[in-house]
Amino acid sequence: MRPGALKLHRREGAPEFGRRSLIKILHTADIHLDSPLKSLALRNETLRDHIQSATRQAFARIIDTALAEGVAALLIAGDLFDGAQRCAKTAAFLSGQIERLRAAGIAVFYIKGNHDAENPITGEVALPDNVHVFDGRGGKVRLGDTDIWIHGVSFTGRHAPDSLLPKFGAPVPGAVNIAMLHSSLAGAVGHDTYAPCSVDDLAALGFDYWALGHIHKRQVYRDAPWIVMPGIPQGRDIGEAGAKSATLLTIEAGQITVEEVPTSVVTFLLHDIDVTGAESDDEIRQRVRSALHALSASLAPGETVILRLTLAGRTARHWQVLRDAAIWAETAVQIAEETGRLWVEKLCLALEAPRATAADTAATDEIARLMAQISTEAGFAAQALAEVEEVLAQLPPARRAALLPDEAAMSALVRDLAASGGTHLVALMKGASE
Amino acid sequence: MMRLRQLDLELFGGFSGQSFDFGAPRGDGEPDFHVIIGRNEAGKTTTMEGFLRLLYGFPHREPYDFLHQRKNLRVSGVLDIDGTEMAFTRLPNREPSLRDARGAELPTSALQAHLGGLSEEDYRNLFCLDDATIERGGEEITRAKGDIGRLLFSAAAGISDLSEVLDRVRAEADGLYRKRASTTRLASLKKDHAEVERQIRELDISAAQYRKLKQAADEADAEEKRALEHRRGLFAAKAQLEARGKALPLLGEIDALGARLVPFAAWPARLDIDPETLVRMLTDQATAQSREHALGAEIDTLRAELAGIEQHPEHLAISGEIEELDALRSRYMTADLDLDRRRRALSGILQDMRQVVARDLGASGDVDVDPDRLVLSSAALSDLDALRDAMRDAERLAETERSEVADLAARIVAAEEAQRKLAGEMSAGSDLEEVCARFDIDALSQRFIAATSAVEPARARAQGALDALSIKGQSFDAVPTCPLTLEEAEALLDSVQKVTLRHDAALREIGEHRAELAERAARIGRIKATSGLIEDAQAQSLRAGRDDLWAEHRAQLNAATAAEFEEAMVRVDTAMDLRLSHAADLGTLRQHEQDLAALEARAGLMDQQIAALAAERQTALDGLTSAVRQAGIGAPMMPEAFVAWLRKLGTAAQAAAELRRLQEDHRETFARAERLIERLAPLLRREEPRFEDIVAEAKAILTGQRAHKEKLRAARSRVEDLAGEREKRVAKLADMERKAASLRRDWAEKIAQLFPEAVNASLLEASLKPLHDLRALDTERIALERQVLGMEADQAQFSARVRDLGARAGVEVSEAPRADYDALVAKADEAVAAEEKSRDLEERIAAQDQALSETRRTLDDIRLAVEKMARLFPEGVETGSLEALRQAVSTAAQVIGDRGRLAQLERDLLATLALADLDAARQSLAETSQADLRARLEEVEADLETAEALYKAKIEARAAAEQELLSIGGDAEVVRLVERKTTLELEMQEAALRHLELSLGYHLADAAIRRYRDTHRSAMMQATETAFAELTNGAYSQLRTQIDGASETLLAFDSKGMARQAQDMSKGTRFQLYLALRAAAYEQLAHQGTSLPFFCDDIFETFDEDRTRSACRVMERLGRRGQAIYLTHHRHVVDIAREVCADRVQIHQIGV
Repeated sequence: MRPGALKLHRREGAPEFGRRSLIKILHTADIHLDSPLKSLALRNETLRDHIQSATRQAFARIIDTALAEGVAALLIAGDLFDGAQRCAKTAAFLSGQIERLRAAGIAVFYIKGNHDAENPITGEVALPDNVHVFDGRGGKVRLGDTDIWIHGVSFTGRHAPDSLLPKFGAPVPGAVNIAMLHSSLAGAVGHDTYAPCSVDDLAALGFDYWALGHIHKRQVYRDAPWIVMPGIPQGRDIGEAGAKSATLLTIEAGQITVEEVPTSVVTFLLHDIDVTGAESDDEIRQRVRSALHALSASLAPGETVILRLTLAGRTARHWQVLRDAAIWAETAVQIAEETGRLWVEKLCLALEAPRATAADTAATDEIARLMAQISTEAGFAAQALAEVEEVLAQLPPARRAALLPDEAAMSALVRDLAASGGTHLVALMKGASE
Repeated sequence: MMRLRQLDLELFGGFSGQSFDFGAPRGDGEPDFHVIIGRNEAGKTTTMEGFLRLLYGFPHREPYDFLHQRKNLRVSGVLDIDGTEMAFTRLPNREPSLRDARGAELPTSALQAHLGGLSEEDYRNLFCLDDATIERGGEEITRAKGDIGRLLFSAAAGISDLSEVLDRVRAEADGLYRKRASTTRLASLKKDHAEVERQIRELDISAAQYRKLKQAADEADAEEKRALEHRRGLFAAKAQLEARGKALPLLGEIDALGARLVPFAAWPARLDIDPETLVRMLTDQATAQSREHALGAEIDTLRAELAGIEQHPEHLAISGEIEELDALRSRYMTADLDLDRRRRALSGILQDMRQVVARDLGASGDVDVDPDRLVLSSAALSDLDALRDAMRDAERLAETERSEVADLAARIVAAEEAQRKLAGEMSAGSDLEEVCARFDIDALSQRFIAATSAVEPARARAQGALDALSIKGQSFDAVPTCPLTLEEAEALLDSVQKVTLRHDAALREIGEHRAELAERAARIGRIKATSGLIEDAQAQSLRAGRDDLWAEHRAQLNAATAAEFEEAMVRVDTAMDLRLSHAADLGTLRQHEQDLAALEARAGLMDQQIAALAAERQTALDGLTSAVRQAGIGAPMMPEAFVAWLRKLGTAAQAAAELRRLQEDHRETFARAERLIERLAPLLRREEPRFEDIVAEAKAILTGQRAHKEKLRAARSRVEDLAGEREKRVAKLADMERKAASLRRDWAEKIAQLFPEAVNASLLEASLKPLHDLRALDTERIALERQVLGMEADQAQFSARVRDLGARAGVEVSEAPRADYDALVAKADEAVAAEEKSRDLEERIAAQDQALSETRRTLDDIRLAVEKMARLFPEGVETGSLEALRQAVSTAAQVIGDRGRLAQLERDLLATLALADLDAARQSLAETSQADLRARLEEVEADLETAEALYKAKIEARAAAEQELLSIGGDAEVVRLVERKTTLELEMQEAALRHLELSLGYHLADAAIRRYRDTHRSAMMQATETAFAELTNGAYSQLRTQIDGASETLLAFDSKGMARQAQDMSKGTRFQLYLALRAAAYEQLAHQGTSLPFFCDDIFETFDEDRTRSACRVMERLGRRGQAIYLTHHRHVVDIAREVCADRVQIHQIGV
């Protein structure tokens, strides 16, 4: 398609862009379409039915928002596809959704990110003609007959070790210039960098709005010019906790304002419940119940939340709770389910042991000390390592890789498992001697 | 630390006042080890049990109450608790059963606090060992029961439960994952995972497949479009031909219509007249005209009717008042019916009132009393009522009080009589009470009983022991004295026996000597007799004879001497030769002779010895015999019997001494009792009274006296009480009588004030009912009078009103008001009817007038409308009437319709041919015929059929391709499966990690528990092992535990390394193991700061001597940590203890 000649199918009666004094544009990135949610909460069938293919639902919400807001364009700043998900049905779904925008005369601007580049579907999908895909050489497109120009550079491969900024042309003078870039910016230590550049570099180029992608956590780096990472529209695991959104730009008289529009179907949330001073199981149960009900009441209407709960604080029931961890986990799941909107994927116990008492001279305490000592001994370490290796060999490679990204992870995992297993056993033994 | 300083079994089991003194605590490091020796039945077990009673109290079922009743049992002791000596006494009471030295109650905890938490059962099983408890407790310990058992195996409670925890964890871990197992959670998740992956593979569509399908769909779409284009062209051609065919007839029609419209060119192009409106106007006009006529006629008729009505306004005027009078009329009617009856009732009531006055109030017939005067107001009546009640109540109360006073007087007389009688009965007070008080008879009698119960058994024992001394018909009244002590007698007897033995042996020996002497002498005789042997003496004498002869010869040197000498020489030589030939016999003989001499010498010595021994024995026997005599025994006695008797004598002496001591102890009590008897006997007139009887009688008399005194005092106080009561009552009575009199005066005044004298006041005092009746009748009378008056007034009013109305209406009235009233009503009704009818007629006439004028206005309107429409048509068209107008409108409508049709036909033609103007149409249709057009049409239709088929095929192809592409669809099935797969993977990860957590935790706990056991077995086990090795003198050197399912058992290893459990050992060894366990437990507890007295009751019985020695050493060692007390009836154990411990053990005797 020729640059600057984007074909738009306008809705009947839609005002001409040029005559509009107020133009809206929706900016998103990192959709990772059809990437599955990773949560044990999905064992629950009700929840599964409710939020299945959440990344699709989130994308559909973005489309809904675009239609409802009457935006002029949707910007997708990379990673529309997920590297691992290569089903053609994903493409079919995508086409269907973009077709809705096309029918409404809304343009789509899309740059490929690292995940798009590795996904073979990306090349095969015949996107409707309202989509402009920037290539690796970069370019600029005028949005209809407005005074708005969209600039963008796509990834051409899975990696982009060098900055892509040199590929951007100069902004169009006197117009609103929006630049799309998929980049890890300065990056983080220990992670690959993608199209590295600094926020200052971006600010120096003279664009009015940098529509970024790649980092899954939303951040507005600067507001003059705007440098915005919209974040992933749907968190996929507890590592991507919090409500997710797309970013809506409103351009009026050459001035840009920015707001968040919610997109996530389900929110991952870390939540601590303090049980300090609780003297009985009933009291703890009551705390959990009231905490969850309060949380449920504070949610936006229709919001669904997957929780990773942590019980913290100092309670007299410390050992009993540790001992009955499985029962407590089930209890938390049940109580959450009562709300109809909260789902617990895991219950973590970060309880502090009650202050040492005379009873600490009991046999179990000495055994606990012995266990701690044995766990540091080389003989045990070797035996434990062998056992962990054997059992982990049973897991699918992807899980194994996620668990053990490097050599150090293995010994750390062995240590952690031994420590938590030891704590659990001590709790059980203390329970038995009650 | 608790130590038993002294144990007093005052009344317990077979003991009365048995006491054990374990002495002051030993110095540091010195063992506190005691052996109590006593014969069987002496009460060793009782001693141990008594100690337990002191600590824990008496059980509900007490087996040791066979001598003393349970309620009398009593055990005391002095305990050294942490260095402080405290005396405790245990009574068989309910709690608290513990007393201190002064007899004050102590809480149970006073002792329990120092028992290291041991229950009585624990104490018995651990530290009060006899045959039963050592075994029972030992088994429990080796089975890890009880605290000590757990201590042995685990050093702390709860460890044994942990193996169950571990088993559960192992089971849970195995449920999650087990090598090569297919039923674990992980395995089942793996299966599910594989299944989901398979489904994904089945459903998934790759990018390449997708691209191919998409291309195919695009191509099919393009082909379909091309076919559609071709088909569309053919359709256009066909339509063109068909249009021209349709256009030809249209053109012909247009031309014809144009010609027909020429004459009407001046007629209006539009006409806004609806022919229907004209028809409606025509109808309206005819209707209005006929209505106009009918209305005129009706109005005339109505006017005539109105004129004929007659009216009476004067009757009309009274109709309102007549209605008002209706209520009065009905009251008139009621009065007519009721009035007479009411009058009769009134006179009846007046009669009743007079009767009440005469009959009930006693007004005499000659004085006419007006009943009205006697009717009182209700206030006056109730005052009178109250006054009467008060008066009557006061009089009644006064009467009651009077009878009470009289009754009281009678009771006082009776009480005084009773008092006099009691005083008379009072016996002269004796000094019995004084004596009893002086002697404190209660305390004395208790002491006397205690003294008697202590002395009497002692006396019986002493007498018994004395009786036992009886021998050979001789009995003793007092304990005889014997110069010899038992030990001396035993020593004497011993020496007699020993001397006798030696004497007898010597006698036997000398007998043998003598036999040998005889034998030797016989042998010598025989040798000498048989061989003619020259004996040494003979040879010697021969030689001496020879030598003598030689000497003689030498001196004389003559032949005689020589011959004699020679003869002697020959005799000597012959003898020598003979002796030489019998040298052997001679040697034997010499030997015999030597032996004989030796034997004879020894026999002499022995005879001396025998004599000495006999003398010695005799001396000893004499000593004993003299002792027997001195002891006062007449009959001769064997020494052994004497020693036995002496033993009894010792017992008797001891019993006597005990009796004396007790008598001395209680002398004061007995003396006081004696003195008391002396003083009381004359008082009670008894001879030779027994103390108990006299005390009982004295007490009974005293009790009787006290009771009598108490009765007398009660009688006196009763008389006083009654007199006081009477005084009070009399005063009260006077008061009441005064009040009653005053009230009666008030009453009389009131009656006099209210009623004339004719009324009998006494009747009123009986009842006020006549007054109430009178008042009720009066009320009724007043009501009736009021009713009669009202009715008469109503009648008068009604008559007057009727007369007045009659006058006003001009109607003549009679004297019967009701008939007059009815006539007036009829007149008024007639007048009202006439009035209503004329008003109705007037209204109808006005309405018809109105309708008539409206009808005339409608007719005018129609006329004006017709004129207006006629002006629309050209000159010359007939429009004068509605009918003509209607005709013109119809014609105009026809013309306008034709004009529209022409325009329509022209438009249709242009549309059919798709041309802009009529000229072009005429031109296009010029020279065209229908036949020509049809021929061309058929040609096109044939082409079209082919194109249609092709198009359909293309649609199908495109639809199929599209369908195929569409079937991929955007559905989320694969996504869902991928999600499911991801979840399954997370679940697998969770299961694996959970398994690892559990498994690693299990390994850690397992190893830790093993280490814990290793470190903790030592303390208690080590101590047991050491003690057991010591007790078995090293035969068993090692103890180990063996885990056996959830429990552990104890194994002992002998020196050969053979393992044995307790039940496989001999009884002795088993007891040693059990004792070792107790020793270890004792040390363990001592280590924890609890050390308690440790009792053993003859548990060494089955031990051999060496092991008994070791056991004594163990006891001594325990004594160093606390206090060890061993009870036995074996003298040898005492000996061994002495041998092993020297003076570090204290020996106590029991039952001596």
